[in-house]
Amino acid sequence: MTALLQATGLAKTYATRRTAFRAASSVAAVAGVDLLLPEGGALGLVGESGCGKSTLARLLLRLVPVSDGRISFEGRDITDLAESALRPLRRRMQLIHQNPSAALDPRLTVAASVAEPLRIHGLDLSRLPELLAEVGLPAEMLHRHPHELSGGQKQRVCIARALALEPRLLVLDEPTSALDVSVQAQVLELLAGLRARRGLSYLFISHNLAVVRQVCDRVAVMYLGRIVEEGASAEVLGAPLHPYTRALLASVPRLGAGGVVARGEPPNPAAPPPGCPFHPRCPMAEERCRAGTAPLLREVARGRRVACHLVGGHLVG
Amino acid sequence: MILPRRLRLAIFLLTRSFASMLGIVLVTVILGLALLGPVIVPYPDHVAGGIDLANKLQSPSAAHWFGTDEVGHDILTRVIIGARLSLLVGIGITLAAAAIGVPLGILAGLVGGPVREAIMRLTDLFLSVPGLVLAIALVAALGPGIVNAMIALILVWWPGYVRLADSKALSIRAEPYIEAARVAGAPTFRILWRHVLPNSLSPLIVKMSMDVGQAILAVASLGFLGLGAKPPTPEWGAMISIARGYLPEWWWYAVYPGAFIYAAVLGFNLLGDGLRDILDPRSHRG
Amino acid sequence: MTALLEIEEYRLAFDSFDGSAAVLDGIDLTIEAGSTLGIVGESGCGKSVLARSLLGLNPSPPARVASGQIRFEGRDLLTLRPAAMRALRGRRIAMIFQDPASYLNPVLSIATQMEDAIRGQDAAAGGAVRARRAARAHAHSLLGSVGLPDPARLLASYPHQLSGGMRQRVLIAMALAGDPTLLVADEPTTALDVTVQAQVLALIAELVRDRGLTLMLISHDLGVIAAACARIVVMYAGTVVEDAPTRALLEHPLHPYAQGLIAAVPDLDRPEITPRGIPGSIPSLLSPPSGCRFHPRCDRATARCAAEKPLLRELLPGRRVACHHATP
Repeated sequence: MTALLQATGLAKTYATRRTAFRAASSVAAVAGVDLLLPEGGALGLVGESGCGKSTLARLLLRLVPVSDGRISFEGRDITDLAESALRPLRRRMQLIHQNPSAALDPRLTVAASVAEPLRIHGLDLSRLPELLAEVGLPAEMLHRHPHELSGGQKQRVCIARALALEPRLLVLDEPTSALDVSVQAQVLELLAGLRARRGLSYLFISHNLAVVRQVCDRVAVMYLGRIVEEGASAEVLGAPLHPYTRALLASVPRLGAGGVVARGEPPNPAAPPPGCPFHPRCPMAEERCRAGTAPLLREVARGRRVACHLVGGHLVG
Repeated sequence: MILPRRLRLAIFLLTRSFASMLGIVLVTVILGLALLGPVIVPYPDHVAGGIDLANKLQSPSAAHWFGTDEVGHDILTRVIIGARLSLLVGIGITLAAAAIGVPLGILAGLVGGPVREAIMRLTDLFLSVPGLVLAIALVAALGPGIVNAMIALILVWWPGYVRLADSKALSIRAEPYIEAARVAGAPTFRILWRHVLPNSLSPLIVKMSMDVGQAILAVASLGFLGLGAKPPTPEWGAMISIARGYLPEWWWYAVYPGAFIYAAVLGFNLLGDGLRDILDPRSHRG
Repeated sequence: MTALLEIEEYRLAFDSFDGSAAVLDGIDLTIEAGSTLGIVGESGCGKSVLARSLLGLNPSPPARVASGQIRFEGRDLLTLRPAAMRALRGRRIAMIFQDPASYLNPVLSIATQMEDAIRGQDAAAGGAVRARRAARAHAHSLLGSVGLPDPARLLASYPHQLSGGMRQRVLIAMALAGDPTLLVADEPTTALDVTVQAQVLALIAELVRDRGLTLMLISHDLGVIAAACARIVVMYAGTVVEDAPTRALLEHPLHPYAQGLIAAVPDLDRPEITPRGIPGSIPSLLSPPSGCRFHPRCDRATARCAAEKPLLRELLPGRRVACHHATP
């Protein structure tokens, strides 16, 4: 397997300007992330709000300026590429937004929206009906406006627009969270089919662990701008090692019995706790977790990385 | 015939409101008078020149509905012809100001950074001086006259459009569909032209409608001060300026041009309110 | 057990430019005092509109009651005068909402807002309105009872200084100010992170148990409802399609829509089962499907389903379902 997308030490720091009332400070939205998405793979990025998963996605797509670290796409370093040099690459890396209603220009018809990327890159417009058919929409939808479509239909239009450029990478930022559950399942089916048919790679961002487990073969769990656990999704979500991953899994309301309750709330990224960022909420925290720097993400077993002082390689053998 | 839903909804929203209907009626009447003016006025040769001192300062009558002025001109004729001038000037000022202000504002909002900083500080500079005072100073420098009055008012007016277009562009810039266009590889100019501008138009159109009324008022003010159109040009403000000397005895001389200024400003303001109702996406569910 | 709330043949329409939408189409349901009822359904099913009906919060126009009764402690809420409804709000029926941030005033301190709520309840009760100092003491104890540490410091803070979970707890504390009987919670955890959601659900369960509250919980998330409620009502396009005890519904749903909804939820613990979507989308209520509103999306639909609206009937003891084809 070759890497389609790779990040090394990727970081995004937002500086707040000094004002009359407040000193200048900085917030590390993403704090040194190493990530690898193989060609044809599906990597899930999970975590709670403010953990930096959406920022990370936008960094990888070069939609926000990188503070530190490197990004390579198709084996080429794209960290410092100018926007004009990036434009041809954009064809092969596309983004699907969370809220399809906001991701479509309300004044454009479906045809105009899906045709836009084709026009920009000077491609053949005759494929529009075919693209619509591929996402399961009838051709008569071409002349509708977004407000005439249901949420699921709008998300299909967004997917068609992304597919128009024949991408290799699709970054999906909570693609089903704005949808009803019966429609969510339809869209997940569509995404699974597209991946198989077109050999797409997915970076799938979601707070819904069950959805990630359905879609992704690997998963990275983020907390406060860092990846705290990464591995095959069946292993990470089936037998979690990091205390945060465990808390997250235990909190998911099940159709069966009630879950265990984790204490505390995600801390403010502007004032992260010292030591391990999770220690104030961690039931297992020891003295060494409370001081020093955050624990590093280490390989504890083949293909399994965890950032926790208390998880040793010997635990998983 | 089945009209598209948007149009039916627009008609429904307009007809529901008395104020909007009044605005439409006033604006339509004034537009109609301006367009048909030379054809319908009873005394076409009274527009400029042609003194008829025998009939000076006649009170309103069947022959002269609005009476006559100090040189015997029919006031109705001059007020109708004045509508042409006022509308032309009002619309001209507004369009020119928007043509300068909107692109600057959208550019500022979309690009941000030092470009925005420069544009907005320049705008602040203009906005910090009271509009009419600045216009008076400009006309004093350029010399009185209707064209110079227009130039002065355009220079006073454009910063308002920068402000509005900038704030609109700032909010639209954060919309996911702008990010979607960037991901598709769209260059900045295309995003500006195809997405930001069309989606910013609604509040700009509302502001422009209201500004036409305000510009008519401002031109009349300059005319009144003797800095705009010069007599005997039939301009409402200039007419009132002279009529002031004939108050209160020859009241009709001032009242009718004044009433037309009032009706024009009110009409465009009410129309602007009505347009806001139609163009506001929140009223689309209606 | 006695019925605290009885909704009978309740029909509500929303009038708009495009016509009249039958948003609630003959709702029949009963909540026993001290019980926990969950209402689940997808967007547009009318669950929030139903919840708001209990407090008279649907603005009219566009809302128009077409028929029916909502009896709370024997009184019809739909014919209540505004003053009587105000007296009921908060004191007998309290409500918490989805987005806690927008239900707190950003420029007032938590103390001021809680004091106002408490004194407002005093005024509505018709008795003496306690002084600010006394109200603050009560606010202090209420915050303690919703599990918020350091109430004194919290009272002095402003909404933006609080996390989402803390804001929702403050709103729950305010809802308790009038010592209500019925707590209506409309998607109370939807805006919260999953770990915080679990905490808030645990708090609601604790309050229900300790205070003997009756709970009506509205959510699109079957998991949330299952975690907090003993009985579930499934709504679809303005109608109740199934009403059953939680366990029975989850294990053996009778209505095809309830079956589809459960099959659509991905199960974290059983990833080998692929969730299945329900074909089609939610109908427009301006021109709802004839007969059973679910029939265009139902794989068991017959001619009868398109012609005749199925009644909500008791198919098994304690289980009601509105489907021509449902069998026990």
